[in-house]
Order: sequence, then C-alpha cells, then structure tokens
Amino acid sequence: MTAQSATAIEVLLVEDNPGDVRLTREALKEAKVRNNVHVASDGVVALEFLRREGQFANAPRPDVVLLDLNLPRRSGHEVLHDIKSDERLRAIPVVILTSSQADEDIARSYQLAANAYVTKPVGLNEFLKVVRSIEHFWLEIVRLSPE
Amino acid sequence: MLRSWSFAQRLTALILIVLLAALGGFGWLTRAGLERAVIAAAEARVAGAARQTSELFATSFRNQIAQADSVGRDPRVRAYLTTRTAANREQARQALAGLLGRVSQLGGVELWDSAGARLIAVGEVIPAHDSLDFVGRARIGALLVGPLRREADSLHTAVGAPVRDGARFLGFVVERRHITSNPAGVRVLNDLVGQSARLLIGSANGTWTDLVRPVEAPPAGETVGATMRRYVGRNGEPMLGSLHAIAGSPWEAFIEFPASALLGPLRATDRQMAGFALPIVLVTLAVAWLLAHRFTAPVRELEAAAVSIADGQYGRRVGAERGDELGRLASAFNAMAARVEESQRTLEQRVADRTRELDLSEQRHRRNLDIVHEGVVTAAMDGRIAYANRAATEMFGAGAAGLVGRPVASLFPVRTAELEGVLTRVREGDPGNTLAAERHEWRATRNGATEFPASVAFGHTVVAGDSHLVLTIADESPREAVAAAKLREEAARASEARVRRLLDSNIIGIFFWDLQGRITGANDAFLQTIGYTRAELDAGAVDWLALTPLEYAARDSHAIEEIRRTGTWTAYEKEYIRKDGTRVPVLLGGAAFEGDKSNGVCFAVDLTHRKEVEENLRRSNVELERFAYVASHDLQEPLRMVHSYVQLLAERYRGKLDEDADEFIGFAVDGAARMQRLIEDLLTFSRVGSKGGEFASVDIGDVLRDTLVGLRLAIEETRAEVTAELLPTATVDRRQIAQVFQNLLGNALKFRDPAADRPPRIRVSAQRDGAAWVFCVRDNGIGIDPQYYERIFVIFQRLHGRADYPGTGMGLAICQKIVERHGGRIWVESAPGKGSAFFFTIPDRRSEG
Repeated sequence: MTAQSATAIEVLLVEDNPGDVRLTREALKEAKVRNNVHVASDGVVALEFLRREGQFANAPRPDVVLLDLNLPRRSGHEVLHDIKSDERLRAIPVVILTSSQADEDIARSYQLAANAYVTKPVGLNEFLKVVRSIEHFWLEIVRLSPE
Repeated sequence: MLRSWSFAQRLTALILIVLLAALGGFGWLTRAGLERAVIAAAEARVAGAARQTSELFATSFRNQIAQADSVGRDPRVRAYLTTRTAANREQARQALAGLLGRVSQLGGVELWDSAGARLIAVGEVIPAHDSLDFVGRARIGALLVGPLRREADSLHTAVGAPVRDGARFLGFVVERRHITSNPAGVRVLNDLVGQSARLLIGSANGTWTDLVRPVEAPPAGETVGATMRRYVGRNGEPMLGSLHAIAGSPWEAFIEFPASALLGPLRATDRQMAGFALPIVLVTLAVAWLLAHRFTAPVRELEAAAVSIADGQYGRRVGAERGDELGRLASAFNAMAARVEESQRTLEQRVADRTRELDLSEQRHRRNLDIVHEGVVTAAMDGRIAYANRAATEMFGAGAAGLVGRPVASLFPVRTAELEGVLTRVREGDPGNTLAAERHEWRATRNGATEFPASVAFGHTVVAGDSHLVLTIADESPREAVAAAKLREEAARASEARVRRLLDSNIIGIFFWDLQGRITGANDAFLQTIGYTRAELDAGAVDWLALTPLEYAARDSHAIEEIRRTGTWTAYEKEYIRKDGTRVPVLLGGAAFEGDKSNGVCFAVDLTHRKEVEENLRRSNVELERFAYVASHDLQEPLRMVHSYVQLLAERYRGKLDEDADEFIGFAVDGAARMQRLIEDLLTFSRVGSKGGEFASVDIGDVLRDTLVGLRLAIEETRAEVTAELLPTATVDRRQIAQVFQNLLGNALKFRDPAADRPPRIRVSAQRDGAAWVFCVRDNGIGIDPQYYERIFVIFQRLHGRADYPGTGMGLAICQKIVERHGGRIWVESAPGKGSAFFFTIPDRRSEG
C-alpha cells in the first residue's frame, strides 16, 4: 500500500549524535518514498516540535518518529511516555533506534507502548540496512492512522 | 469319652440301643404301609372323580355338537355345499348367523368343505390349524372337539359337526365356543373331587384353565403310587395331583390337592405312636439301669477299696462271702491289702529317721555357704536355679523372692549363645573337676537394671546320679573402680602434656575452658587475638561472657550441647569482643578432656587477615567485571562512529584520492573492525558472570546441532567433517554452553592443518566421570606445544601472528569462564602437528539430588 507516495512522508528523528543523524539521512535519501527528515537533538526539542510550540508553530505532524533513548535533557523513555500519554500524538508510530541492547531498556520501551525497538548495528552497511528496513516497513507497508 | 463310662452305664446304653432300633424299625414299616394304603385310596377317589368329569364334559360336547349338527342339517347349508353359487352362499350364511344369534357362548360359526378349507365365517375366526385335526377325527368318527386355545385372557375351543348328504361327506359346521366361567358348573365339578382339591382342564398344547381363568400347565413332579405325582405348589406347599384324559376329546383333566389333606391323618398316627414309644423307652431305661447296677455292684466295691488303699487307708477290706469268681477275687484282694499295710508301716518309720538325718546335714551346709563371701548358686542341668546362698541373693539384689526358679541366663547379660556354650562344656566336663577350667570375667546384672563386673566359675557335680551346675560368683566392682580411676588419671596427665606442647608453640590461639564459662589458661597467641594481658587473664577478668557478642550465645550453646554428646565440637566461625570493644573474627575448634567433660581445650584462629583478603578479592572481582562491562559498552558508541564513517570514506573515495590515502583508509577500516570484535568479546567475557542466564536441563546434542547450523558456511568452506557421539542431557545455561561449542569448534576450523589434502576432522564426545560429564572436542589441526597449555586460556593471549590466524585472544578465556561458572574445568591435551583435544566438565546436578 503506497497511497501516500504522492505527498512526502514526514520523519522526526530524535538523535543527539550528528554522526547518526547523518547516517540516517544518508540511508533515507535512497528511500523509495519521498520523505522529509526533521531532526530534534534532544527530548525537549522533540516534544516542542510534536506539539508545534514556539519556533515549530508551523511544523508538520510527523508520520513516524525515530527515537534514540540516550538523549540530553529529556530521555528517550520520557519522550516516549509523553507521546503515548498525549491523545493527539498517541497514534504516531514511534520506533526506538538506539545502541542499547539491555533487556531492561527493551522491556521498558514496549511497556511504554513503543511500536518497535531496533538496535543500531555497528557496521555501516548494517546500519544502512536497518534504517532502510524501518523505512520500508513504516513508510511503505504499514497503513498509518489518518491524522 | 466312652472310655470314662462305667460298666453300668455301658450296659444300660447297650440295652437301650437294641430296644430303640427294634422299636424304630417296626414303626417305620407300619408307617410306610399306612402311607401306601392312603395314597391308593386317594388315587381311586381321584380316578372316579376324573371319570365323572370326563363324562360331564363328553355330555356337554355332545350338546354343543348337536347344535352344530342342527345347522348342518339345514337345507340351505347343504345346498351351498353341493352347489356353490353366490345366492346359495348368502342363504347358508344366514343359517350360520341364525345359530350365532341363538347361542350366547358362541364367538363364531364357520362352514368348511370336506378338506377342511374355510368357505364361510360368521363372527370370530377359528384358527385354521384345527381343520386338519377335524378332518382326521371325522374320518374315525371321534367327537369333533379342538384343543383349548387361549387369546389374551379369554379361552375358546372349536366344536364341529360333519355335514353329510346320506353317505356323502360334504363338509363341517364348526363353532367357536368361549370357555366362560360358570360358577354353578365349577361347583358341581369341585364337589366331585372334594373341597380341598382343585380341578384343572387343559389340552396337550399347554393351555390350561381352572374353569375361571387361564392357568399354567401342571408341573411334572415325581411319581408317587400308580398315577399320582408329587410336586411343590406355587405357594410352596407340597402338592399331589393326577392327570386323566377326557374321553373322545383332546382335552385332559388334572386334579390336584395339598399333600397335607391326604397325609394329615398320617401325622396324627405318628404322634400316637410317639406317645406309645416314650413310656416304653422310659420303662426300659429304668429296668436296664437296675439290671446293670445289680450285676456290677461287687466290682464297684473292689474298685472303691483299691482307691482307698491307694489313698493310704491300708485297713480297708471287701466282703468275700460270694462263691463265684468275684468272691475269689475279693479274698485275694483282702490278703494283698494286709501285706501292703504291713510293709508300709515299716517303710514310713525308716523314711522318718533318714529325713531327720538329711535335714541336719542340709542345714549345716547351708549355714556354711551363707557365711561365704562369694556367691554360690546351684542349678539343674537345664540352667534353672535350685539354690543360692545369701551372698548371691544380695549380690543380684533378689530380695525375699530369691533367685530360686530363675534361669542362670537372667544373671548375666552376655550373649545367650556364649552362655549356652559354657553350660554345654560344663555339662560334658568331668564332674567335680571343672571349676578352674570355666572361669569368666563377665558383666552381671542386678535386678536386670544395673550391671557390675563379676568373676564367674562354673562346675558340675553328680550326687547319686543326679547332676547339678555349680556357680561361684565374685563381685569385681570395687577392684575395677580403682583400676578405672587410675587409668583416667594417667590419660588426663598424658593429654595435658600433649596439649601443653601445642600451647607453647603460639602458632594459633589456644585456651582452656570449663563449662562455667571461665578461661582457666591461655597462650600468648590467644591473648594477642583478644587484646588482653596475662595479668588480666590471671585476675579472672577474661571469661566467655566478656568475650562473646550476644548474637553468638545461641550458636555457642549448640556447641556445648555437642560437647556433652560427643566430647568435641565441629569448628565454626564466630566473633570475640576485644578489650578495646572492636570485634575479631575467629575460627573455634576444640574438645573436652577425656573423662571429665566439664573441662577442655579450645583453639581460636584469628580470621581478621583472611576476611580482609576475601573481601578485597570479592570487591576487586566485582569491580573488574563492572569495569570490563562499562568500558566495553561505552567504547561501542564512539567506535560505531569511527567504523561507520571510515567505511563510508572507503566506499565513496576509494580510487579518488591517491594510493596512500587508499592504504591508510584500509588500515583504519581493518583496525576499527578488529576493535569492534575485541569489544564484543570483552562484553561477552564480562557478561559470563554478571549477565548469565538460568540453569535448565538441556539436551547437549541439541545445543551442538544449533551451533553447527551457525558454523555451516565455515564448515563447507574448509570441507570439514564434524562427527558427534551421543551427548547427554545436562543442567546448564544453554546460551553459554552454545558459546563454548561455538568457540571450540571455531578454533578447530581456524587452526586447521594448512595442507589442502587434510581437511579438518572434528569429533565431539562425552563420557561420565563420577558425578560429572566430561565433554571433548578433538581435532586434527596444528596442535599446541605443552608449554602453552595454561597460557591459551588467559585473556588476550595469542600464540600466532594476526596475519596467520585472526582473532582477539578471548575465545578460550570466555570458554574457561563459562565452564567455571558451571562448576567445571577446562583443559587441553595436544602436541604440535598432532591435533588438539579440548576437555571440559559439567557436574551432573541430577545425580546430586
């Protein structure tokens, strides 16, 4: 189902590591679906973007959020909790994209209703493959909630 | 029982038996004759009644047949039988219907042709199977009466008359007659057979009636007399009955009556006879008794006299006035009695004299024995005590009851077999000469309660052919008590001397204690441990109460219990409060002195140093693991960046810069990759202890199969041959054991023989060794020099250049850590060029419990 292919898909990437931001952008650049990547470098900024506060008054509503756990100011788990307890934001799929492989992080994320949990692989090609898989699944296959 | 009867009783019984047999035989013969006569008379009466019944029925049948015959003579009927037209048929039918209307007992009327086929039927139909019978009966001129038939609760029969035209036989008129209850008729019939009797009518097909309702056919029973049969009636009463044919018809009459009606009078006769017999028997008994008594009187007199003499009345005599055999017997008896009386008098005098002498002698002996200090006991040869002197009675605490009558075995708690052996030897020994031979130091028992040591000598005397056992017993307790006290004293002295030498060595703390909690002595090492001076110890300032923290009181009393029980206690750890109030951990062991358990010695090892070392080791292990985990985890993040971007560089700019740049980038990519593997291995290593999984029962064969799937590519590339023996199920952390196999098999594939014609051959096996499984992974690779057996398991240690064999040097270290976590060990047996065999053990937890 690629009904949204006419318009661009909005992706919010919450990530403080510029290296990972760049790699994710590189991966999404080659995506089949046209997409706009917005980057929030910490949890507080991410929530402002989602709630269209301050400078983000005209920000688009993201179709998917890629969320790191290890973030300055407000942690990924806190951001996840805020999104999933906000009625207006709850429907947006959140994919945890993190380097943590700890069982407790995985369990906690799913308890907070994360839609998927993906560990960042170390190798470049593996990383690109993972991001493309996310793109393929969440932007091409899944039919998202209408607004 | 019969043997104890007197002659008079036996005679009486004999006469009575003969008389009763004669009386019984006569009575029985008379009774049987009477019964035959009564049954014959009853048979005659019943036969008469049956004959009359038969005539009554024949008359009734003839009347019925006459009615049918009247229809048979009707011209309309004959016309139809002669010329069978529809009109004739209707006419004949009306003639039949006329009869049906006239006679109430008729159920139906039918017209049959001469062969018995039904032509017309009015009313109820007659069963066709009567027709053949009728044709046959008509031919011999018998009455045309069918058998009694039953439909539900009603009975009927067929009665017919032949229709003739002169000599020509045209057919039959047949009536279906209901057999209905006719109380008047029943009465007449019953009067014929008598009030108590019952008349049943029926036919051979088994349908029977008592003239009121259908009944069952009479039973066969047993034959009595000429025609009677005897059987048990429905109400359980014995019945008699007899069967008679009803002339000219297929019907039968059965007359039955209760046997009591016939045989009742006989019972009265029986009673009369019994009435006669009883007085006869009584009179006979009296006469027989008198006769028998008279005949046996002299014999009884002799018997009574003999009994008196046996009782000691030697003056008794009997009357001897009769001239017959009994008279002569009485004279002889009187003469014998006189002789017995005379000799008895002489004997008694002699016995009295002798007894007096014996009594005196016996008293002398007893007095003598009673002042002897040792116990003297004589017993019969079976071991039962016959005499015990005063010393023996007191020694065994027997009191007033004495020892006489008790078995010798009850005096000594030795094994029965041993005592029996002694008694047997003594019995078989030379009488009067065995006292010295059988002497034993035994335990003796006083009242079966307390024991005392005794010296026992056995002998055997024969007096006038009568054997006795003689025992002399000396109480050895006073002597033994002295010896024991001396032994104890010596043991205590020796023990103390030994302990003293140990004490003075001052290697460990040693002190002496008593059960009041006092410390009665200590060496310098102990004083140093608890921080007191010798002066303070001597002043009594140091005791259990001052040294022991409250929480150890319970543990200490447990140890005291143990001392009381076993004289020693199992070493345990506790703490002492030093003089300065600090605590010192010690290991306490000790024992009570021999003989006196309220004193003892104790060693106290100061554990302060050992505890510190243990704690440091534990802390440093934990810190090391934490460090390894945190370091490797935190290193991952920047490494990922380096690795990713160097790879990106390599992909986008290879060939676009100069050759040097390509080479540099190549080194960077390689370094990053290696570092990544190192960190992964380090993480794995640090997680073995801290992040291990649960232990569960796992099929090791399964684990190996999973591992081989992961290594499939490498196995195919190297053309390796991996074989596995049957592997057991063991209690392990599945993921970790898989890691061990992965590393060992990976090594076997990696360190293979470089010769192309020698592909790796790997064999995995397991065998039981005591309570553990020993697993083995054997290969035919390059092998290892024995000097490196230890080193290969050390973290980061490698034996080969990276260019020859890549790797982090962590694989075997991880294996070792995993195996040790499972409580096993790992080692290698190998030689360069001969292949290697890696062994590791896993304890079999199931066998533990």
